[in-house]
Amino acid sequence: MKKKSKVEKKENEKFAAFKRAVSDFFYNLSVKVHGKMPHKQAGATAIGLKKRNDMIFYCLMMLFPVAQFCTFYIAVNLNSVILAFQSYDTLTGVHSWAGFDNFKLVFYNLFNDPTMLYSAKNSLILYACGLVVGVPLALWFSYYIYKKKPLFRVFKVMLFLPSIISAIAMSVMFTYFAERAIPQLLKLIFNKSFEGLLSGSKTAFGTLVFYSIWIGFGTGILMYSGAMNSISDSVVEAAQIDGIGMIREFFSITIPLIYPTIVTFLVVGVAGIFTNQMNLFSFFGPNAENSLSTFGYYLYKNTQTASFSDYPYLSSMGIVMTIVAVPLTLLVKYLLEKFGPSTD
Amino acid sequence: MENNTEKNKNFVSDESASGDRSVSCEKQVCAADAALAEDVFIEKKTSVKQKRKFNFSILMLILGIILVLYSVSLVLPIIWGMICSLKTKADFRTNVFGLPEGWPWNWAWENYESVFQTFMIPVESGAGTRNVYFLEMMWYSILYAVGCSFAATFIASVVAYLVAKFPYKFSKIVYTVVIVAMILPIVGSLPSEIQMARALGFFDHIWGLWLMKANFLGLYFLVFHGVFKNIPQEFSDAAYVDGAGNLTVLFRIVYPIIKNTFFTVMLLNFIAFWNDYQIPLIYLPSFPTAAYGLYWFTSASLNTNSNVPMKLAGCMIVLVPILVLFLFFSNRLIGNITIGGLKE
Amino acid sequence: MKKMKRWLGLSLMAVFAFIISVSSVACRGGANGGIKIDPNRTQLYVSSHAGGFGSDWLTAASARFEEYYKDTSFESGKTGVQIIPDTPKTIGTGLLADIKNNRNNVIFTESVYYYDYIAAGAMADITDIVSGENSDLTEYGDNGGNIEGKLTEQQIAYYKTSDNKYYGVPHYAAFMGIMYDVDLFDEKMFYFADNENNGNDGFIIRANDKRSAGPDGKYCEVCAANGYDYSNHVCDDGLPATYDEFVKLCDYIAGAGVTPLIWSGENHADVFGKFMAQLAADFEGDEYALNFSFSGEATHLVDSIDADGTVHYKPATQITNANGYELYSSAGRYYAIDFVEKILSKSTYHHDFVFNVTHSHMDAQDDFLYSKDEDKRIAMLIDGNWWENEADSTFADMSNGNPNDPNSRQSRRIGYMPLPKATEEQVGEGETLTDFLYSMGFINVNSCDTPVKLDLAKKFLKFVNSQQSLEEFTVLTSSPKSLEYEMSDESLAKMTYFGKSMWNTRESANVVYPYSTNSLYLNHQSDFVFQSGFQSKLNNQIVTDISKKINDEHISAKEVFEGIIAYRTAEQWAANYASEIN
Repeated sequence: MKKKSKVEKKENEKFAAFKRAVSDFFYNLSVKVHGKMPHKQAGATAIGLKKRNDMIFYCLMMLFPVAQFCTFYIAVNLNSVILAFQSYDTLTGVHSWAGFDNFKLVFYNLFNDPTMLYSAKNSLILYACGLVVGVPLALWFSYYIYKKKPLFRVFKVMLFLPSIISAIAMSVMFTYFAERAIPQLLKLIFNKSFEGLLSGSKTAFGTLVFYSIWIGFGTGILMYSGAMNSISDSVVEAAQIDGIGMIREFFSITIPLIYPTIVTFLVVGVAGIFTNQMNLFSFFGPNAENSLSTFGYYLYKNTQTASFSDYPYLSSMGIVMTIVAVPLTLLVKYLLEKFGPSTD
Repeated sequence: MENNTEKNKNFVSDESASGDRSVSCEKQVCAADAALAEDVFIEKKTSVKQKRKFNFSILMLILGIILVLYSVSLVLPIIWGMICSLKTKADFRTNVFGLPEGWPWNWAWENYESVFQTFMIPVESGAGTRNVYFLEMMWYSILYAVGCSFAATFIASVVAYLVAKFPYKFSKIVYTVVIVAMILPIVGSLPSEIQMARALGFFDHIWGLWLMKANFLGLYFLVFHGVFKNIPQEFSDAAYVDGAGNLTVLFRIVYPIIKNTFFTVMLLNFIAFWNDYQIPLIYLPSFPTAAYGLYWFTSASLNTNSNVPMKLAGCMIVLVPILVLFLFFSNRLIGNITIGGLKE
Repeated sequence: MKKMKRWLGLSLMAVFAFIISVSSVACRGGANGGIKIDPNRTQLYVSSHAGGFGSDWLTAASARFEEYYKDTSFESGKTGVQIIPDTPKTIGTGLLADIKNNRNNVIFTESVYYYDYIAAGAMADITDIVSGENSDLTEYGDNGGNIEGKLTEQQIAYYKTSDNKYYGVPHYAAFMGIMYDVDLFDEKMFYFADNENNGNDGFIIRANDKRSAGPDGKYCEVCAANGYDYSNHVCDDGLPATYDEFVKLCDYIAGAGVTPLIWSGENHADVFGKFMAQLAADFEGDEYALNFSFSGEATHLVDSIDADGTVHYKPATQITNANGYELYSSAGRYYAIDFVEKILSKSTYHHDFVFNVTHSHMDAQDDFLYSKDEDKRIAMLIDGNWWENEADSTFADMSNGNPNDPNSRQSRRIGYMPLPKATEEQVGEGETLTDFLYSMGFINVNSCDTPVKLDLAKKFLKFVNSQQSLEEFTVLTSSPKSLEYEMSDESLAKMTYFGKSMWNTRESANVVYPYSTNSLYLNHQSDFVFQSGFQSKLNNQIVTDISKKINDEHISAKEVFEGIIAYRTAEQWAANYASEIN
């Protein structure tokens, strides 16, 4: 037999210990579940039996997903949460309890650090543009496809194309096009030198927002046109017999009927305020101008260059964002449902 | 019209094929339910919509024009990129817009040749280092993307099914966890994630990545949840009455009904994994995928392949396979997926 | 419609098939790629970051190391060493995340947070070969001495931990600077004459006119004797001595139909961030280290600036952690911005693409080199000293790989321009460089599990820091390493013109390293390493990318400088570094 190296052995021990922990956990869990389950009684009805079977089925099927979640989400991220309450000294390598110091600094910077202020502004503008331009366009486009107007198949493919193409390839092509081809074209037309769309300080932000919307139709179109297709034909037929026009139909039948889908999409999008990088990293690397920053970019860039002593601050910032994001999400959901069209 | 019947055929034949492996009575149940399901779920393309009475509408005309412009704006950079990928370095410096210099057979086809030669990643192997070239990368890409997309889609759908159909308290918890996890930004968890992957022996194995990606978090959980919520209980109840177990119901009744959604979500996941380079970069050092190769290639700090035409040629090479796949499946992709509202 | 799509699909399939067949042909050539393990030798795994400095130096050092130990047995049944090189792209935290499973025994990399690596237990203790019992370098051809002897006091203070241990050795040096095309300067006579009133704006009329003394303030005797023949001699005579002269030179060059300057548009923020830090360091001298140590006396703090640019200084101020923000008002910073403002004052001073997002550093190098055969030549490039090694393949392309071709790396003469001085008074003060890459060589801690590997790894790390290896590195990369050593005439003779001029500047310069063991610095490294020290508050906006701002809106250096002071307030400093101040 081959002699195993120390490292390997250690690894195996760790693995075994971990396995034991996991299996203990599930054993305990199943004992608990069994304890809660209605015990088989004499003369139990078929329904009671079914309930028991349901429970067993449920537990068995949930077993792997929950275990997976516990290891690769909770266990892995726990560290990050604990860090938020610590401080770290680089010279000695000692972590010490810092209470809410990191959070205090996050709040201070939230109102004083210009990059954070820009990030907040830009992230909100980006979300708003998506809301005001992106979503309505996606809805109208979906409607066009749903109504099977000329060339709808081609457009369907086109609108989804950017989601297919590798983000690297897409941004490489777009950057060169915006920076080399367009200025050259303008030069030919106006006989004057022009800056690239991303280089020009006046055009950069607009271009980034445009790009986000421009390549971002895919999933929206997919969801909306899917929802529209599941609208019952009898409703549409009835309306058309009444002589309703296209626009009326869109606003008073299509939109109300797919409204739950729209809400879901927008509510999930709220999280995007805190995670969207606006493709800044692919265009500018870590050197994007302050005034273009978003929350997502700020966090990503700083984690890329972080030293150990930065982690506590960054992870407390993550937690602060979550604390802001959850109520905001609920608020958006509440508002959308309250002021949305009724579905009758 | 023809589309519908085709789908219809597919549906039935699929069903009978799989039915062969089951008990005959179940087969009947399935076929009956499938037919029922089809009535409810498959969009009917006949009826009013189909009667093209040339419903001319200015709105649709405008939408059509916008969509044409959109398509042009999308195709233009890609075509421009294609043309430029056939220019020599010197040609591109002076001739940004035109066709490559000379006749087509004089164009810089050698860009592609040298991209193929330089498009490689050295990986460690037991016997030293080994260069992995494009073809092998494609193979790893397929293994990685197919496996991960199946795992992620399957787990998300199973958990969504359990949550949607079994009203335990735990289901509510899972639902909340999904929503919160979508919003919560996580920082600095990479080292612990790698440690975990190492401890479980997942690191640098493609199957390990399948298991790591087999989680239920994300938008697609909501998609499946919505779909399952919309399936009337009668289908499964009928099967239960016939004595079918939970597993039978799930795989023989429910999955056939949602197979379009399943396929679509899986394809979407597939595209995401296909284009992902960050995860293979970290977790699969011995199995570089094509997207990782492209990243490696475009970020090269050697002058040989850093010039614009070569970078564009590299993009084209990665772009084409996925484009082919997409054009084949585009019909399946759009119009089969719906997402419901968020419940309380 | 359907048919069309099917055809389209088929044709795309055909393209795909074609690509696969082409790639399989291409693959055949590469089937033998990679390295085979030699079972009769002991293997040592060495990685060198795939950056601008390349890995030729590693190949050369490995070959000599293997040769040196070819008859020595380290393991029973094996004789000699085989070095397996690796050139990863991952650096910094990415490298650290999984280092304990990294196969490489010796790692040369950059952007290292040294104390984080130590805390993570990533590096093996190498005190014995740096300063301890096994540190004598005589076995590798040195005249005694050890690695510690090749470090400056500042380096020792940083690398030697509080318990007197070493875990890493500095690797290559990176300086931001101006490269100038000597061939072009000679041809067009872009040199200052000693006689300012010679009727040609102070520029020489004939090649052998007496030239000005340059930034070092001394006339070169060799040049005067051989009629300013720079073919084999590096000298600063005739080069601009002050910022004003530099601008005058740009005017003169532009007037001759040549583009004076180019730099990478994609990286302009980074280029200028580092270049301005370099200019500030050159002005401040040793005091520049205060920015990292926060202890000592600052004598260049600005009190006010007159409209005509006259600077009034504050009395000397003691800097501590509590008032570190005061350093942002140092005159070095002001003059650095002043220089940038000057070179951005006219669009004729620079190439069109210097702010273009797609214009990579390699594009800039290419433009600079290729312009030799184009209508519009480019006189100077702002880049790091690694540029020449990075552009190696462009030289090879232009010369068809023939070292005797006039376009080869060996033949073309491109010089590292000694930095002009901010003011007349500073001319002759000597240059201060700052090395910003935090590059390092160390031994992976997991080598400790195998004594044979650890022993070999230590030998190799020592070996690459021997006199011969240091010289070889400098010859191959045209760049110095971050250690103190001399170059023999023999090695100098092998170097390119650029290498010689870089070495010439480095040899006579004072080097300040951007680190210290001050807790304020160490616990906020990313702030001082990655954040621009030139962020400025202008019209209530905080601008990071000030070069672009100056270029777009022609803001004066004075305004930018005052904006920096307005941004770096005592309050902001106290809030961010509260725990370090008390």
